[in-house]
Amino acid sequence: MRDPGLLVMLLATGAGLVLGPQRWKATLAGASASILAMLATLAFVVALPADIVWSVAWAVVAAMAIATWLPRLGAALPVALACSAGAVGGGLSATVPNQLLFVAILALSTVMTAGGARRDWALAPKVVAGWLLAIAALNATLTVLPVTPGYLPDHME
Amino acid sequence: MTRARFVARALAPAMGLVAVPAAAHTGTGLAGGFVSGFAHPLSGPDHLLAMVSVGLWGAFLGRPLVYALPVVFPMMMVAGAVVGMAGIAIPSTEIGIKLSVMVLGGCIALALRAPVWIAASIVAVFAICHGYAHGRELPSAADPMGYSVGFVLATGLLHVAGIALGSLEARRGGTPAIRLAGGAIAAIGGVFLLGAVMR
Amino acid sequence: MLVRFALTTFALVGATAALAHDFWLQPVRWRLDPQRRAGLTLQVGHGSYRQRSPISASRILAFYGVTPDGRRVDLRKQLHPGATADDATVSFGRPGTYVLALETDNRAESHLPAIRFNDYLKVEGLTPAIELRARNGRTDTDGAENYSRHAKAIVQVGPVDPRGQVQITRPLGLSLEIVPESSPLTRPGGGTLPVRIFYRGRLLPGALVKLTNLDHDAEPIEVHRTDARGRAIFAMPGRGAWLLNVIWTRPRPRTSLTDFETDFSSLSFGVSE
Repeated sequence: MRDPGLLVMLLATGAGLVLGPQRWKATLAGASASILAMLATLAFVVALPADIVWSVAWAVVAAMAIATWLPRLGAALPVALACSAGAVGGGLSATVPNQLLFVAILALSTVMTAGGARRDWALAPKVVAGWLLAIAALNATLTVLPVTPGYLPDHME
Repeated sequence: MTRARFVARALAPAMGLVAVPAAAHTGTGLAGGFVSGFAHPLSGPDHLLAMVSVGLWGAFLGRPLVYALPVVFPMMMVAGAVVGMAGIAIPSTEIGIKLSVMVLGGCIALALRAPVWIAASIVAVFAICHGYAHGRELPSAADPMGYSVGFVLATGLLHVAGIALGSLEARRGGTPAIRLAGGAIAAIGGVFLLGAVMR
Repeated sequence: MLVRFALTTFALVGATAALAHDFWLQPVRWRLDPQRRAGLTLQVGHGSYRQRSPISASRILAFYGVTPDGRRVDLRKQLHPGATADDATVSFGRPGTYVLALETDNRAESHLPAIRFNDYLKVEGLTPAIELRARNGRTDTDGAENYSRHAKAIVQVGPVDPRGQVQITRPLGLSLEIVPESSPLTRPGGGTLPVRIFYRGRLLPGALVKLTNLDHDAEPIEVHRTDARGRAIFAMPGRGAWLLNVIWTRPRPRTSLTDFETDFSSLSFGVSE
């Protein structure tokens, strides 16, 4: 199985990492934009091919992880990335029955991570960003390798 | 920033990674996913000791390696995992894993203050071996994403645990205790290595 | 190392037990009205993976019914796999107990990474294959199989006649076949249901046979390995829809493109008390 909830949580963690070190207004704007983007996607966007959505999601996770390491980030890029995370999160959640739960996952994880990364421009978020980048790289690689992923059943003919 | 605060800072965002994994699971559950991945580094003493040693040695070496090694390791672990996922056979990765325990433990025991590039290179090579072992299992996990989150998170938290242990250096008698622990890890690694070679 | 392997394997077993996919015949109703056509689907997978089989008609070698008096009636013309409502329709004029049988060719292939293939062999009890791979030093290599399906189903037209059950307890000659020693329709919920497993005409010891309630089929409710006489004994099932299944494999010649040839066999039936 592919669990969209876990990937939504990873997106939210990435969003929190890039938003946390910003001024509180930018953090708040970014988190709000992320949630609104997710709600807008759920409300107005028709379900897209799952493989495309998942690939874009991993790219966004990786981009946020890399952005965490960039000096002098500014406010615009983190907010834009958080917004992207929310939109992609909405795409991932388009077919689940309990969509509001996934919105809550996004909101909660973003806020928790931003809070943890907020205190000072410390290197701990960069370490966590390294973990995110590793996870994104692994999963993005899995989609291009000629292997049967474990979530695909076998002996189905 | 003190190491204790670093540990706290690293754990807080990491909690965002595990906020609601149980609530996020559907269908057949997390078995074969996050739980299996998380358990994988913890259930093997060789993996576990090597990960803690990376954090411990990094803490001993101080800035920037206390932060750099826990970043280098996951990155190179991914490289090894990709090779494992692709089914490319690398001989002797198991020996590499056992060797990592002995070498990293030895570096701690000997209080070896290696230059940044040497320390990073040593950790990178061993990370490839560890990553290869995870990567061999990853594609067949019922939930490869959950599995990858699990073992990357467990690996990172073990590094953080090692860094936390390394903070004992500042206490009275801390350095000898850490070096003694390193010696014990190296000895255990030697036993592992002997077992792997003799097999 | 052993603990890590055990933990991972256990977790994978827990997760992949539903992934070793069985195939069976599922009538819309297990009790048919005389002369009235009834639909039947070809099912594969359990739990959340359960679905109609995507198999094409060209791969089905035989589909027939065995009447209460032992005659075989060819039902191939009643097959229409992939149709909207069902995959076949059957009708029988006379009351009695009928056995439906379907066999496919072995052109289906499965290619799995080593760890998953080993797990599948372990879950399905294919111990000889595990041992063969270990002897040949191929435990860490990916596994490839050709596999075929051999499915039987028991349907009842009219009331059950306890004297008319012999077609259930007699082998039909399938490559891999589950043959009950007594009919599950005559003593529902009481006593035991012994079954014999035949593989290419001979009794098969050491095979893992599973009994699953098709109304709650995520996991089997009973699992037994056949004894030296190819026999496994289950508690007689009560009311409901049931599936017995077994898998067996044998190595293919070294020149083959796959390593093993595997047979999946099932017997499905419905019990009403």
